[in-house]
Amino acid sequence: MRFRPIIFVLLALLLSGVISTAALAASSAKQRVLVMRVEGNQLSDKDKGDLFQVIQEKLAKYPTKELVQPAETAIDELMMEYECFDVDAECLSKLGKQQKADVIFYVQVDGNAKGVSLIVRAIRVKDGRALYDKSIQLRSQTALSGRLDTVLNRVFGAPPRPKATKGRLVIQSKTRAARIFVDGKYAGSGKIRLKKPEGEYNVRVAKDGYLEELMTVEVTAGATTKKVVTLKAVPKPVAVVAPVAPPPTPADSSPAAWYQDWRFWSGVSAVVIGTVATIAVINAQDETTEEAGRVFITINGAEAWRDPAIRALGGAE
Amino acid sequence: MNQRTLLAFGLVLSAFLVGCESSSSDSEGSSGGLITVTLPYSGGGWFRLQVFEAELTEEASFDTGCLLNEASTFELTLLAPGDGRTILFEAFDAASCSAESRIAVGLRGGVTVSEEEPGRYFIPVYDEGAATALPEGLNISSSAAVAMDFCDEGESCDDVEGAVGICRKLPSGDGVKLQHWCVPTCVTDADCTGLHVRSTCDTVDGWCMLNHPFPLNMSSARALGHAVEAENGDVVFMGGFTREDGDRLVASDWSFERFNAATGLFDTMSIHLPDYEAHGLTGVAHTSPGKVAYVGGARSVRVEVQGSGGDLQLDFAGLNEEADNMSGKVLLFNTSDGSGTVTSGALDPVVMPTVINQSDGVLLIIGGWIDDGGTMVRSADVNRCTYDEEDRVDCSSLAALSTGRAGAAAICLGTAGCDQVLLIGGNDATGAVAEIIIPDDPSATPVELSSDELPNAISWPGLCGDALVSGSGSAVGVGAVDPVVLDVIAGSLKVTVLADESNHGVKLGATVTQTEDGSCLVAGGLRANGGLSSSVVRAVDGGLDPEAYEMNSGRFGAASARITSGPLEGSVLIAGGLRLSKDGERAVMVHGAEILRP
Repeated sequence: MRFRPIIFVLLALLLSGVISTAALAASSAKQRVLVMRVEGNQLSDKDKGDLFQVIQEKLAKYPTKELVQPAETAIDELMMEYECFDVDAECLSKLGKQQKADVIFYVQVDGNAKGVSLIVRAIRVKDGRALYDKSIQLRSQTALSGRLDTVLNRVFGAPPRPKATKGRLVIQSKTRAARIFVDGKYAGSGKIRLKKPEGEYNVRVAKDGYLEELMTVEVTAGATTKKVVTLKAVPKPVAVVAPVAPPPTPADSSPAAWYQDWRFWSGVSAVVIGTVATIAVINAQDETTEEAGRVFITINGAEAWRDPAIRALGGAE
Repeated sequence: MNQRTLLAFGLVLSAFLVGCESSSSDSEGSSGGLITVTLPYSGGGWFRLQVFEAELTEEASFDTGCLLNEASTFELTLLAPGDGRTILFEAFDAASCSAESRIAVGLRGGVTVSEEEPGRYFIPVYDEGAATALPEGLNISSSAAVAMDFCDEGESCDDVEGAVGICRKLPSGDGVKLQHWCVPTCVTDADCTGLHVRSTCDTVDGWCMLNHPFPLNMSSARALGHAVEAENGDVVFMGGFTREDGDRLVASDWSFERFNAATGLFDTMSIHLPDYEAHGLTGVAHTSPGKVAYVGGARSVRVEVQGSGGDLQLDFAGLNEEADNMSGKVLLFNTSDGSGTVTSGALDPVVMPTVINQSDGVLLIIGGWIDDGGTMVRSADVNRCTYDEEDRVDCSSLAALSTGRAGAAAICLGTAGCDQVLLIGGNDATGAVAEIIIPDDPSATPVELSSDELPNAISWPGLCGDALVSGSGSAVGVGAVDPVVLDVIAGSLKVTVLADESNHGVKLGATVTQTEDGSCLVAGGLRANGGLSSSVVRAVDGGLDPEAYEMNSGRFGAASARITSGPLEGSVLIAGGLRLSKDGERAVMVHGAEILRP
């Protein structure tokens, strides 16, 4: 009898309960799953709502499931309507039938002296059979989300892996401490690994004293795009005797790095004041103005005590 | 006398002499008015100076245009005389005289252009992409120094006409050659008040110093206070401790002042309220644009540093040792005009409460240090406080926290306003490090939260949005904690450690300022492995920027806020705080402020 081994395997699957999940999924195009709103005395209404949403999002990852929305009616009223005394398999089966669901999923979170009690029931509606019915003791709410993942995997099998919509972008700079920017935002230095939606990205790698590198990279879903960058140092300036610049059209200016001298000059400013001739006069006012005033201005901090605002409070000099 | 003091003295003296010369030549030779700009550098680059009639308007009344910076002194003529002028100075690199090449900006309001004897105004100039310290610690003795042909070092100048003090040999204009000067000297502060009423004696060197050159800097030191953005773009400093008294930090009554974004100067803000006293360690929150709630606090606190700066402790247990040291007052303060309304009796005295604006007209005042029958404890109280049209505050108790907290950080959760509040830190190690409360649901119990990524207790937590970027991973003192992003999912706390490639770390007493793009600048603080930080680190979504700005002074417990108008818009003002003494065993106050142009 050639078909006997196949029957054996089917029987074994039935006994082990595996068929109850796998076959459920295969038995119709879409299995209708009703997730009841989360009950219990531990969570706030807001958290119950969040947790309900988390469960729905987890189930939405199963392409063979169709989510059935629960009634707005409170569970107490539903139980009275269906003459239930407890939220047990029989009661849940009745509620599931009313909503034309194939499976009903119920979660209750209660607080107790040891922490949190998580009650989970998954009931096959047509015959009231419990696919899962357990009370799990947890030390804190922190573990709720992770434990529900485990339960859903037990009842419905592992969710199919979503088709990749993102790719990996790896940028490595061989120039130490170079900063990496992706689409203008700082992303890190050295080597960065980012998960990015498919598309083109502008990458900039920069470091003081080096010529920055700009590039456009394309990220493909499910793939890794890697770029290795080595920055080139800015060439050292050659000494130039600058001509006396005819002031003052900015476009005519020859580059000169006096900013580096800023702090040096602020340190010796008094000396410079004493030795450099007072020059250049700018007349930007209407020359017919008869009244004219004067003011001395310094940006040397050591002279700040001479400021009228300071002296007005004091009596110096 | 240290080298810095010598140099500063030399600079002031020579500048003074030059000033006298140019002043006399001006009066002899010039029939028109002039403005003299003395630049601290020369050779290359451009600068531009504009004078505005009052506060900055669209068009300057005087504009040099772009001038090549090829000398250090420029005379600009024919200014219209008048008071209240504002001067805007910009320096550019040699590439071009345009906004993208600007390397520094200077701002000074309140200038008088006079037909008579001209004033000598100081314009603070702030470097782009760096922190610049406002002037402090000015050597005021030099104001009365008299140059001598010769005198013996240390000899009394009493017999010299017009001179006081003793003879000293000091560098002259070239910074090298020594000249002789009769210089006032001091032994006590009283010897200096003739030079300036706020001048104090540096008893080590014998110089009279002006540590708080108000209004060019804050009017006093300030530690463990607050800074808030005012509606017009100014920065308002509120409270904090303003002086040291032995091992105590003490609050003074002039502890409200404003940095005026239009003038670049500080103004004092008088609080014209009967029985009002300023405090440090208050709780502060914006209630609406231009209005701030300022709650509780202490008049003084004892501070200890142990193990050469390795551990900082404030003596919270001793807050109730002195009568009336703690406040239960709620001040609603208008940052625009300095007016306010104080409500007494709405709360029991409390120090370091967490204050959060739940909704229009509703404040939540949570936890803080309280006196529980003679013992200071962290409070688990949650108060819902409402205020009426006259800003009178009325508070009622809500369900208590799961554990006592003082100085906890709070953020609103939920989509409907602030119906849930996440509190983190401020606890001792026995309670949950974080919890969620639902203020509007009297039956709701707090949801305790913890994470393996967080220590059991966090003190002085500072948040940037939902990221923990400041604080200590210990209930007392300095402890390690990673920078993390906090996320609450289905009642559980998800913690993601932020990238921190340069190991900036999270520091105790760092001050957090959110910038326009949502990133935060985290300034100073005490490192968990010991030592004071002078870094300003940018916290972005992905982590802490490896490259940091450097302040001129390391500090913790400072106050900082963003300047949101005027030429300094986008800058961050970081003021006051504490630093460690040279031996690292004492916390001393930082006098001055710095402006960071990120």
